[in-house]
Amino acid sequence: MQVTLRHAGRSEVSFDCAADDTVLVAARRAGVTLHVACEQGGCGACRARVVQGTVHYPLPASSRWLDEGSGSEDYTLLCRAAPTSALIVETAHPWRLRESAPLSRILSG
Amino acid sequence: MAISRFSYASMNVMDVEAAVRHYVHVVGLRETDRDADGRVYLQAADTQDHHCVILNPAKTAGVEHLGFKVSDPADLDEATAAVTAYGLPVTRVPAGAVKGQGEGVRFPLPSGQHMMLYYHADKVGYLTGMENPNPVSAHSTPGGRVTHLDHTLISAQNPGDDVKFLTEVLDFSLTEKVVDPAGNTLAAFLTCGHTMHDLAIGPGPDNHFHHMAFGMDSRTEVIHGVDLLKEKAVPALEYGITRHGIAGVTTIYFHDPSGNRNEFYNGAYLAPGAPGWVPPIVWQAEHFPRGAFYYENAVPEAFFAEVT
Repeated sequence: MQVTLRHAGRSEVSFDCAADDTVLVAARRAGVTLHVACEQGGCGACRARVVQGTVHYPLPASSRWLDEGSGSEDYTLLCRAAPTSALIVETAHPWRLRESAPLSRILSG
Repeated sequence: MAISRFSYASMNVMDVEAAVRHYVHVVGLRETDRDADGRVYLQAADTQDHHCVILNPAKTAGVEHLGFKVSDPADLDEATAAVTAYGLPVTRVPAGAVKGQGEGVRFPLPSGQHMMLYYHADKVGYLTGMENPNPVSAHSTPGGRVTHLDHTLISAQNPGDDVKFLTEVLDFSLTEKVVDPAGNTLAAFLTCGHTMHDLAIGPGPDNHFHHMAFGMDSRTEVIHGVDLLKEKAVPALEYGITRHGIAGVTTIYFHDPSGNRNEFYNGAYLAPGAPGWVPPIVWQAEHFPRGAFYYENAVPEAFFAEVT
C-alpha cells in the first residue's frame, strides 16, 4: 500500500507500507522520521488528517485525537494506523528525512 | 481545609489488561481489586490505602479524575461550600462509587481536570505486611522498585487560574513557579503535604494530563528502572536518566500502553510549612530549559506539546 505524507510548505513524500504495518513502522523503514511521542495511540503527536484512503487499527488509538472533537473520522494516528488502501494524509507536524550519513548508509544496507 | 495528600490518579486506558501488565510488570504496583465496571485498582509497596492508580476502560487516554485525601470528614462540607462559592460545580459522590473509598466531593479545576476529595480509604496494608515486617522494601516483586505515587502534572492554558484556585480555596502552597517577562505563570508546582510538589500545572491545552510520578528510594533505583524500561522496550523520553533543575530530582519519563506519561523519580526536597508561608522559588522563562532539564538545558518539543 502506498502512503503519501503532506505538510504545508514542504514537498510530499511517499513510501510503501506492508499489510498490517503501521504508517510509523513503514515510515521508519523508508527513512522518514515522524513526529511522535508516546507511540501508543494516546498522545496525538502523530495525528494527521486523512485526505484520501482508509486505515484500520490493529491496536487501540485514543478517540480523543481521531475526531479532534469534531465527531468526524477524518483524523488518524500514524503510530497505530495500518492502511487498507492507498493513503494520503496531511500531518499535524513536519517530519524529518534521515540524513544520509556514512553510518546510516551502512545501517540501512 | 486540610488536604493531607495526593493519593491516586484514576486513568482512562484503551486496553485495561495491557495497562495492568504495564503497571504491575513495568511500574511495579500490585493489583489490589477490580469492580463490576471493569476498573482495576493498584497500589504501590509502601502505601497502606486501597489504591494509588485506577484503570478505567475507555475509548480515550488521559486522566478521569485525581484523588486527594482530607484529614477530617467535616472538610468535605467545607470544601463543598468553598468550591461552590468560587463558582465551580461540586458533585457529592456516595461511598463505594469508587471501590474501597468513602464519600467524596468532586469538582473540576479551572483548567477542566476533575479532583475528588475524600476522607476514608479501605486499607490493604504495606506490601511487606503490618505485623513484624521486614525493614527492606519488597525487591522480589516484578517491575520498578517504586515506593509510592508521588505527584502529578496536568496541563492548562492559563496555569495561573489553577494556582489561584488551589492556593486560595484549597490551601495548597506554591513552592516553585515559572514566569514570563510580563509576570504570567507558565508553570507552577504546588504542595499540600511535606514535599515540594503534589500537583503541578504545566503549559498546554486545558483538561489534559501530562504525567504521574512514582517515587523511588534512591537514584540507584531510578537507574535500575531505566534498565528495566530498555529491557522491556517501553517507549521513553529521549532524555533519561536526567535531572530536573526544578526540584532537582533524578528522573526518567516513559509511556503506558495508552500513551499516558509516567515518571520514575527520586529526590524531591522537603517543603513543610503552613499554607502560604513557604515563599516560592521563581524561574524566569529564559531559564526554563535549565529548570526543566538541568543536564541537557533544553526542553524537547514534544515534552509539553503532547499530553493525553
